[in-house]
Amino acid sequence: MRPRRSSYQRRAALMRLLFIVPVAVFLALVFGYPIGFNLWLTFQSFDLVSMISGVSEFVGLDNITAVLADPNFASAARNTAIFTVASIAIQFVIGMALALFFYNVFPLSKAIRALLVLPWLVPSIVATTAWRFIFKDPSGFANQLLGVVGIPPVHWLTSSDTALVSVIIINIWIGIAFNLVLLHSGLQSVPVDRYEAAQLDGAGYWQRFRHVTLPALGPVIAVLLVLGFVYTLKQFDLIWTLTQGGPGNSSQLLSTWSYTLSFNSNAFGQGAAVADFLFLASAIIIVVYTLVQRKQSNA
Amino acid sequence: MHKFWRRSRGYGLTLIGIAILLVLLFPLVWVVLSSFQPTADFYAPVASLIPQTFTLENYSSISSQIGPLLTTLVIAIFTAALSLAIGIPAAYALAVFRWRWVAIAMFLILITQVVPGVMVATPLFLTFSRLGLLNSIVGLVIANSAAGVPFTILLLTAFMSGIPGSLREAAHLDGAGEWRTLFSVIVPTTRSAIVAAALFSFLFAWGDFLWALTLNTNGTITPLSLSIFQFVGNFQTNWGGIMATSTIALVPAMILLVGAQRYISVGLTAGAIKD
Amino acid sequence: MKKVLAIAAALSATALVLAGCSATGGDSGSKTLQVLTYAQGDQVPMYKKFFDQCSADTGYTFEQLQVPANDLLNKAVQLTASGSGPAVILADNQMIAGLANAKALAPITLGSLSASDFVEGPLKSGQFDGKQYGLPVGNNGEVIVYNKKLLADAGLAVPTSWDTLTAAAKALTTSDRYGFGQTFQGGETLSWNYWAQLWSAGGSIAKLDSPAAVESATFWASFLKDGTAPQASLQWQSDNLISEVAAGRLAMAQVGTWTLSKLLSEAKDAGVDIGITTQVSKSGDAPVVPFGGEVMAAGASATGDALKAVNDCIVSWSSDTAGLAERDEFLGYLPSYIPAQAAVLKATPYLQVLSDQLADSRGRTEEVGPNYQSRTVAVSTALQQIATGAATPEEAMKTAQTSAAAADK
Repeated sequence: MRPRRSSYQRRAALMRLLFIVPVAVFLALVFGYPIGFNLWLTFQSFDLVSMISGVSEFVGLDNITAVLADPNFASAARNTAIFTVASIAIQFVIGMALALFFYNVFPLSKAIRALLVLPWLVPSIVATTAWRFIFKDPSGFANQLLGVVGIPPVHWLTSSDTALVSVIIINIWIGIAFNLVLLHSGLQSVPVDRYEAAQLDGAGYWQRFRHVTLPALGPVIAVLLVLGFVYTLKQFDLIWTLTQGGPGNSSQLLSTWSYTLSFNSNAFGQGAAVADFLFLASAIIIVVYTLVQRKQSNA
Repeated sequence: MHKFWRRSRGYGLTLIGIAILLVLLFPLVWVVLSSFQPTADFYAPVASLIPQTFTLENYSSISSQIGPLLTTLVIAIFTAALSLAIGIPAAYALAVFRWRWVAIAMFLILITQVVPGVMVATPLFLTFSRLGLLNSIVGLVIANSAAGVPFTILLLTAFMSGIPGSLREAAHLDGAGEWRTLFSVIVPTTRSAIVAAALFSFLFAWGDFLWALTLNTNGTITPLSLSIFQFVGNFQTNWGGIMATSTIALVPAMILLVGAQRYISVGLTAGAIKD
Repeated sequence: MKKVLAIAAALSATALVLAGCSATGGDSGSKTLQVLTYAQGDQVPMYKKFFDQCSADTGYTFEQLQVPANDLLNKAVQLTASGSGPAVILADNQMIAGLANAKALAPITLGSLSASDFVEGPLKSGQFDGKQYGLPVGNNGEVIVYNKKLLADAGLAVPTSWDTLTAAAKALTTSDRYGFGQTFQGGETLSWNYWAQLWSAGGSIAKLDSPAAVESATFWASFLKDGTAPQASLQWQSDNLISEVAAGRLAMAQVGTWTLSKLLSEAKDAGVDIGITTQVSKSGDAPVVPFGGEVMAAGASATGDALKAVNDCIVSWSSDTAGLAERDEFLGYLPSYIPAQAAVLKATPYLQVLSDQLADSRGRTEEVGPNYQSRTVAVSTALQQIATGAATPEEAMKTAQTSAAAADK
């Protein structure tokens, strides 16, 4: 016989569940069903005909093997890796530098910092339009600037050597704001007395940054990097509006390739298979993140 | 003398700050400048910083953009509201209830973030059409919150788990239940993070293009990004129209950012989370 | 915080009311028929005028919904699947096979029109499996425009073959001018610019890695590789071509006939004399070119009386011969309905080249039917890869064939 107390506890536990019921329903609608649908598609011969007739066949691993056999897979995977790592690393460094700079309070510092968030705020089509003219071949602003220092013009978006670099630059530009806001927000929460204590111990600026700031920012940085990773991995609008993965496949990422397969070639199963690989890559990173976090909170 | 140096150091930093701002915002500054040049000039071989010919022709039909501007505003505000309404309780629960499956829940929420929007588009379209949510502001708010809700939860969970348990215990001792503790103690403590979450949820919706494109089928609802896109043609593009509409999109955004800024900068003060 | 929320609430309330005002007054029940189209700019009011007439004639309300050209096929099928599909689809003729195969279209009758009054190929482009699903709006095509003075000064004849085009492009390229350009931006436009060369080498869209395909792709990408075409053209749209040709920075260009009226008027303003000729072929013989243009088709969602109204509307596009001539002239198209051709050719003599080309033309889906979409994607990627040196022609075309075949049914 259980003590009566347990029914009270069970009720309390049920009340607590109310905190997450809305989010569970919401996520099931907006993500659960679509993800399940995508997984199902991976093993089906789904095409335009199936969309209306609703009829498709189970084809086993055909879609996955077709995607793996496609020479475009390796290049899209490689481009995605470069795009993601380079974007995150550079926008984090710049975001951190700016966050530290704006830790200083000076006239207009708040307004300036606020305006720096604009690149993130504008619809991506506005941002990409502007960058199209900056990278315009042959005489956009980027090449005009290079001309001043005597460097010959670069075919930014129209060469298979530089298209990926160009979209990375733009993605970094968009992502700086995200890093700046979160890191700055995090810096505010570092207790000032720790700095004071470190200063009394004779720590220099760099040492204080390493031994006080960075550890204190730990959780924020972890969230930032993981979110940055997933947002970058699925970046789509930017590339789609600027290069559509071209020229050739030189700026093709897994996300854009997945879209092309599904919506331009009407090979929905193959598009779904590519999206699965995106899941897989992200899932690995996220598993690592959750494990590390768990270990830390247990410690 | 000391005061003088400190003040001039401040102004020096302001100058550096403005320089950083100009460099980083150059693309947007140029959008505004170029909105005053004729469309033909966008095809000139050498792009010019300042319009060679000044014109207001790109703004001639701008009154037609007021509707889209308001539509976008409504969608973005309600997206932020919905993201907070769903996200705050969830973040609180995940941060403090010490459920055994919290890690799994966080994992599931994170995994939603990796889904490329384009892959969600088709199934969501089919679901929404069954639920009668196509061509509605409600539908767009829900779809846009797909980015805002998980973001809010992840951000707030990180901040809320940094709050010492003693704060919560004190509230419980005062007889507050979990909901009251959340709203009277935790929310005020994490308000800067909450404003940040709201701001970002707003931004996701403000910049949205994908949902506007896929979940609207009859043109009754036209957010700004869709109305900008209508200038982009298969064979030609009305660059002037794009620049003018983009400028219109930038102004409220700038006002909002400068206005909401101090709530973010308040930050988690050292006092609120002192151990 | 509270203040922010209060402001936000006030703002949203106001905005909601205002947006509500601007959004009301659209749907008037099932009497509304949706027209799905990728028409743009001043084409929209032109089509609106036509469909307003249809509305007046039939008692239904025809309403246009514009989507990006590359999304139209998918969107049409998606909308049809959701039960709120378009009643009329203004599709590029290469999309008809895919749409009909997916059962997104409804069959129509020719009404008062006679099949023999249509140019055969274009009429057939509205058919699939022996059924007529729509009628051609008119036909367009790609032609080559050239700067007469530059060609004459260099003592060059108008190019007709691969060799003469290559030689002319080289001779006309200088430090501030390119010899031959086109929009090399990825997508359908790039592929369809190339098909005539594939066919002239004896190749087929069904086999993209054949020697003929590799040879013709090598030729077509050679202008970018040897610098007689600008690298920037990898991002160009037709308006770029127009301004470059008019400014004398581009000596020859392959352009769509729908851009000719604008191109000619800008060139005239700039004092540049423009000649127009057909696309080239490997040997120099008259080329077989793909014909372009939209088909106005009935969507599967239109049934019963609505389908009858849609059918009447589609037929009225051509049966009103004078109106057809006017509309096609505006679009830069040659009517596929023969009785209207003379009037258009008289008003716009420069479309004569298009008329000549159409005599020897082929539909894009004749070889591969509904499998056309994946091929156009694969070829445009391959051509860009060859042009930028990212892959050899053999590799690029082999990849194209592999990818396209994997998506075949």
